[in-house]
Amino acid sequence: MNRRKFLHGGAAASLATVFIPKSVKAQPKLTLRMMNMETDPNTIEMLKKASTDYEAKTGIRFEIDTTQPAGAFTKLATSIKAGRPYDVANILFIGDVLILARDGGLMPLTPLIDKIGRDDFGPRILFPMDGQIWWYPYDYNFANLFYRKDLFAQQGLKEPRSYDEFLKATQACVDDPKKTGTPDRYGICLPIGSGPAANWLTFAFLWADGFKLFDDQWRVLIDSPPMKAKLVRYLTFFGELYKTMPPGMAQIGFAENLTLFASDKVAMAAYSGRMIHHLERFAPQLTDKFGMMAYPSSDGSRTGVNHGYDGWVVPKGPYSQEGYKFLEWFLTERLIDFYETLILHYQPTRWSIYDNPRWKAHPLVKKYAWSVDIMKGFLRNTVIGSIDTEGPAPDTRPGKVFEGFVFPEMVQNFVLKKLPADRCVELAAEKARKLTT
Amino acid sequence: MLGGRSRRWLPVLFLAPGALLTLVCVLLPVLYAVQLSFYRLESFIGRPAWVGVGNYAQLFQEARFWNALANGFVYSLATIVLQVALGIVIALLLNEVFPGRALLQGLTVIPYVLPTVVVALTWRWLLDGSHGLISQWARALIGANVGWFDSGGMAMAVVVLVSVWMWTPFVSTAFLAALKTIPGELYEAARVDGANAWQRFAYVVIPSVRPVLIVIVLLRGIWMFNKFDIVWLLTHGGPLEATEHLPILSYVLTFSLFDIGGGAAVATISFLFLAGIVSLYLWLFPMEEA
Amino acid sequence: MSTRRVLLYVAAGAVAVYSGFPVYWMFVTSVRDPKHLFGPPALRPGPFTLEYFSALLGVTDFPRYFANSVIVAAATTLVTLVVSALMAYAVARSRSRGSRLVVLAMLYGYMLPPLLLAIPLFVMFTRVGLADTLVGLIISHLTITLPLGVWLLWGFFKNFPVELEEAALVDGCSLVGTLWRITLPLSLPGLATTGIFAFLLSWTDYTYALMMVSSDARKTVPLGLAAMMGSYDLRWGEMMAGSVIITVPLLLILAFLSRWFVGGMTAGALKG
Repeated sequence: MNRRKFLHGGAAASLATVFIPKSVKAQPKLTLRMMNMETDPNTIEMLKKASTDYEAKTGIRFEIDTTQPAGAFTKLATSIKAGRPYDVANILFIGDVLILARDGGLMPLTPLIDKIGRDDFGPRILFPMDGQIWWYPYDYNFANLFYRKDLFAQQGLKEPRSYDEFLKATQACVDDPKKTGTPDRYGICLPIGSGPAANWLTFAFLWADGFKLFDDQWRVLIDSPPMKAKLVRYLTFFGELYKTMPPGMAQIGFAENLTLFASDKVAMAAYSGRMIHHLERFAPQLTDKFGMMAYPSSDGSRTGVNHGYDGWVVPKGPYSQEGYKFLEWFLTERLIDFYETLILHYQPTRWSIYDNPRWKAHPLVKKYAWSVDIMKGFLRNTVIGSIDTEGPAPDTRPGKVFEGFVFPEMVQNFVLKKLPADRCVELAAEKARKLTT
Repeated sequence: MLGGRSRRWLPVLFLAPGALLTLVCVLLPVLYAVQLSFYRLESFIGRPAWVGVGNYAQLFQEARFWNALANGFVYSLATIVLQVALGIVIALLLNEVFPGRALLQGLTVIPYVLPTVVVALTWRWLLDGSHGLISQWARALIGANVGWFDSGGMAMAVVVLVSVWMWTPFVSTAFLAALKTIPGELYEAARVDGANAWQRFAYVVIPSVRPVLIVIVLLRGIWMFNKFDIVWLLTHGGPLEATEHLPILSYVLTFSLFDIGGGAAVATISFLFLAGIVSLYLWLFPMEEA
Repeated sequence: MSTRRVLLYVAAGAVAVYSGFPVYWMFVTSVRDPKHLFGPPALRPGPFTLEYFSALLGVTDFPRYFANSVIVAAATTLVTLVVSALMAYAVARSRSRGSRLVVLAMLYGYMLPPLLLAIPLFVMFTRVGLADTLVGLIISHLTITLPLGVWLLWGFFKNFPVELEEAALVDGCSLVGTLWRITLPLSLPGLATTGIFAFLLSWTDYTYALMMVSSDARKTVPLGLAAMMGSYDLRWGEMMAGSVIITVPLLLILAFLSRWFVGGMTAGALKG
């Protein structure tokens, strides 16, 4: 008798706990969901506080789901396609945003942007499509190159301006004193795996070099003679560069670029402002030894950077209005707090922020004023490009090329499968066409 | 005892919950997946469009599908062979008597109880290109960097070896149990007849464990063909689809490319293939054995 | 000592290292000071730090993931025990063809890979509002644990002496009483094994969790751990610490309940 009761009781209890709500404090009048892909603990902390404050003010609670950036698009798209969209979300890469917008999954944010004024926003960041603006971009996140000033000085190098100079510089920095074939320090690391990291960090050389993915009629230009030449030149250059890279470039994501540079395993790495924060925390001895530069073109005539950009979107759903209202509140009241959690990485998208007294007074902005100048300079002096913003107008097509990892695969075919450069370009053109027609 | 006249309803009652669950959560999804495979669907709540066998035709024309099928076979075969070989060796070892044997037996089972995620994480850490312990040892040994995940062959090898590490304990435990059922007299008789260790193994051990061997090979073959987590967590099917097999292809089609009909088609093909093998297996070895 | 003995010890040592080293390394990494984490290889543990554990438990949602895992695994185990025991008993004792059919269907279900079922199950659950719930996850786990339970317990009940039950019935005991007082206590080993396996399968599941659950609030530990792999800041220390937390209960089960655990593995393999 006792045993049966115990068994039944246990079963009932365990099943019941599944249904009992977790919190016993006062229930909010509405619980909505936010998807967040900023994984910095300070930022997450700040978002949680903002959510708590908003709940105190309006009784609406936003539960925050933090996801890894590589899975963000899938997660957001799945939530929309499963009929349970997130009520507000931040996401990286405009290409993904436009794909979702085209599918009817997002609420336009044009009124919100116009209230602030489009002039306040920097270049190439709003990407209006079909007459609407679909996101509030909050940072530029340019992928640029970090290099060790001290090692360059040792080798008598100056900032390289062309592919050749760049290659020579990385080769000079490879440190293999005992000639073991496995250097203590490599020249550079650049991801090549099929993921957003490679899309972001590895291809800015192409924008500097004047590469264009589509023509005005949206025809794929990859295998057209002038573009093919640029790509072959790039692949050849990259192949040599690859020899100065540490092992595992096909496996690394975002984080390893930071750790390799900080642990003195590479003399050059690509990233955005987060690198500086990372050095401050993990390698303070390097904070006065690094320099920043944009990516060089093949002939040295121009430089380029890759867009990194993150923005807030409001998916279309039963509570879009609430998501919109939360976003308005957040951007008016808490934007600077948000920036302050990783101030050198979230490069402001609005001119007025650079003049904001609180923003300017931040100790890191003051300490690294030179680097802030360089970052601001990117807005004016370099070719800003990215795979998912190619083409004559904002559209979903380059986003498909982006999500299909056409460019990382092209590089993988060249350095891993060792196919001839021509063939790699042909395969890339084929795939790009297949994805965009 | 339950077949008695007055208690005919009892077995039905006992079987009901399980039968219901199987119906709703196993049979229905399978039928639903098959049904989905005949439609083009781009979102989980959208309106499907009938394409008949269009998804299948498209799949059979794509090199990516055949690549995934081949990878599945390679992975399955390689892991089976290695698991059985290693499993037998470990079982033979554990069959011997030596101090600390019980402890060793416990140790050998550890890989099997670990969650796949933990296994994947730990091995990725060990094989990290720059900082992983095994990478560093390999560098010291060979004098060159080993790109564990840089080539298709290496990546598949890593995936196979980690899988073998994880699941061999199942084989070795089963084998050990089978070994223990071999009567000592058989060994003695063989020894008296002048057989050496190898011959004893071949003529006493193998025939006695043959039924278990067959069961294990078939079961593990089926399971390994369909292992999703370990491959996904180690390589995501890369590089360049070198380790992409049918389960991963199905996942990618459904959640990355939002070709839900295509994903369902791959899943259906997998299911039909497996159902065929299971049917064959059950026909050869019916459930009720004396 | 004969060469044979020496070889034996060498082989035993090799197998021990082969089986246990990765777990050892996981433990060592989880308590190694960050400045030494990326340095040259050091087999001996230390320098020590507990910061990964405190970061994991204090800053991340890991405790909640752990709680979710416990809830799901406990519920799965309990329901599995009850339902599969009833089913296995019915099949073992009844003579009807229908019961065999049910078990056959379950067998097919068992041999189906989770991924195959997970996608249509996800779509189905979405339409009835069970997507991203622990209940949905528990139900999906039952699809793998129930067949296994029925399989294991069927064998137990089949080999169970019917005479004991019949004797009790003859003595005037009710059917339920017989089941409760005679059959159940003597099947405890089988139930223990089934319970352990059900717990294991649910606790370590990744595939179903990946599809059925998406919110942080309902993630289980395997999902939480996997999610840490792709973040902007690499945290090997925390990941190994999380792995340790998830592994320790399993090692305890192995250490103290190994008899039933191993028994289950062999029974499963020797079936048929």
